[in-house]
Amino acid sequence: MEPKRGTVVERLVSALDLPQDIVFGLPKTTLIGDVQVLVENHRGLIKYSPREIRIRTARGELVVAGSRLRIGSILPQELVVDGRILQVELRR
Amino acid sequence: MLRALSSLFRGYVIIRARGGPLETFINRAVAQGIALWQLERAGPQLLVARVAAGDFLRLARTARRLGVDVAILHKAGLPFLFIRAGRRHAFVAGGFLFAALLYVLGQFVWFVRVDGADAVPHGEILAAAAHAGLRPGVRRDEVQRDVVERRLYLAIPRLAWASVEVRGAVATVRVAERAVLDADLHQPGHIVAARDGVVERVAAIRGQALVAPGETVRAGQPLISGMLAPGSADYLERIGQGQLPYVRAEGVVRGRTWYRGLGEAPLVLVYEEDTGRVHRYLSIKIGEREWRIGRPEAPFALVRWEQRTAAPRWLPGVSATWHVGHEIRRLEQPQDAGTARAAAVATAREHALGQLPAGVDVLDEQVSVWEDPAAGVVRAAVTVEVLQDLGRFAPVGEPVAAGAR
Repeated sequence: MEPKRGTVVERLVSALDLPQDIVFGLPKTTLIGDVQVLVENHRGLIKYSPREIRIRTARGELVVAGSRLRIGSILPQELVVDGRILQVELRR
Repeated sequence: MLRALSSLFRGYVIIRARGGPLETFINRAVAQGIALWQLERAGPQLLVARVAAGDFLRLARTARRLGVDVAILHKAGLPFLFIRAGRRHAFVAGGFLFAALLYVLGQFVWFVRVDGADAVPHGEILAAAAHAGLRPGVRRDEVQRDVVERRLYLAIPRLAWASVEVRGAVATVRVAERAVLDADLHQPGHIVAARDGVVERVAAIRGQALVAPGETVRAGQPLISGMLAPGSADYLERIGQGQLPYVRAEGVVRGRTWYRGLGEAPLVLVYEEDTGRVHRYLSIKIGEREWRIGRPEAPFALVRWEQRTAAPRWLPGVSATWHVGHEIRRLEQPQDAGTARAAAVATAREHALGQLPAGVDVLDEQVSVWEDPAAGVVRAAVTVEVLQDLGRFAPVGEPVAAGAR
C-alpha cells in the first residue's frame, strides 16, 4: 500500500528516523559510476531492450537509458542493470 | 562472486526464451522466487539468461503458460560435470588411478645425488649409501639419515662430513672431503720412531703399543705395530680373505728428544774494500766471434769484476760488454773472544732451533763452546731438549729398525 504524503504513519516514520524504503517499500536506486544500476524494492519489468529498461516501482516508473544494457541479475527484491548508463529517470 | 560459486556448485543452465511476452515471463518467474542472471536481449523476441538447474522445470512451466518457447543451450556446473564424468568410467578410474599412483610413487626415493665430492668417486659414496639403506626405490620413511651418515663416515674415511637430505623423490648426499690422500688412509703399517728419544707417553688408537714410558727408542724402531694379534678374530678374518694381517696403526707416542746445532765464529774478521782503482776493457761479440778492445788482465793482485752488456734489438746477434775490474784490498780485524763466542753460540742455537718441527715443547738447552786456534775460530754446540711426537707412519714393507714385525 502506498502511503499517502503527510499521513500519520509517514510523519511517525519520519519522526522516528526509520528507513522509509523498508517501511514503505520505496524503491532504492544505487548508481555505480556509469556502469551499473542497483534497484531495490522493484515491482517488475515493464520493458527491456539494450537501450532502455523500464522498471515498475512503488513510486512510478524508473527508466534506465544507455547502450548495451543487460540485466545482471533479477530477484524478487533486487534488480541489477549493467552496461553503459546514460540516464536514470523516475517517471510518475 | 558468491553467486558464481553457488551456481557452480549447484549447477545452472543457460536458456533461450523466444516469443511471447518476455518481460511478463521474467516477472512471473521472479514472482515465483526464481532467480535469473546475465539476461541478454539478443533480439526483440529473443532472450538468453541463466537459471539454477533446480529452478528450470518451474521456469519451463511458467513459459509454457505464457506461450514462450524455452530451450536449454548449455548445462554448466559441477553436478553436470559429475554426470558427464559418471558416464565415462574409464576416464574417472584413470584419474583416480593417476592420483593414487602419484601418491604412492611420492613415498619412495627415486634419485640419489651426491654433492661436494671431488676426489672421492660418486659411485663409492652411492655404494656406501646404498649399503646403509639409501638407494633408489627405498621408501622415504625407511631412510634413517643418521645411520646413513654414520655408515658413510665409517666406510669412506676420506669424508670429513656427510649429510643426507630427502626432498620429494630426490635424496641428496652432501659431503666434505678430507685433504689427504686415499692411499694414506688405507695403507697398513706401523708407527715407528722418527728419531732417537725417550718415551714419555704412549696412546695407541689402533694397533699394539710396543714401547712403554721410560724406554729409549732409536730412529726407525716400531712404536705401535699395525700387525693384528695372531689368533684374534680380525687376524683370522683377514687371513681367511687372503689379506695381510695388518691394519694402519694409529696413535701418539710422545717423548723427549734432542736437536743439536753447531756454529762457529772467526777470531779475526776479514773483510774487503775497494781501493778506487779500476781497469776496463770492452768486448764486442758478433755471432760466435768476439773481439776485445783493451787488456782483459787487470794489473791488480785482488780484483772484483763487474760487467755491463748492451745488445741492441735492431741488431740481432751483436752485443757489447764493458768489463770493469775494481781493485780491492783485504783487511783483517781481530775480534775479542767474548764477541766471537756469543756469535758462535747464536749461530749454533739458530741451527738447532731451525730443525725443530712445529708443535714441540722446548724443555732444556745445553751449550758448549771451544776455541780452535789452528783454524782461528771459536766453535759452539747447542743441544735443545724437546718433548714431541716421536712417531711417524711407516707403511708395511718399509725397512724398519730392529724389533719391527
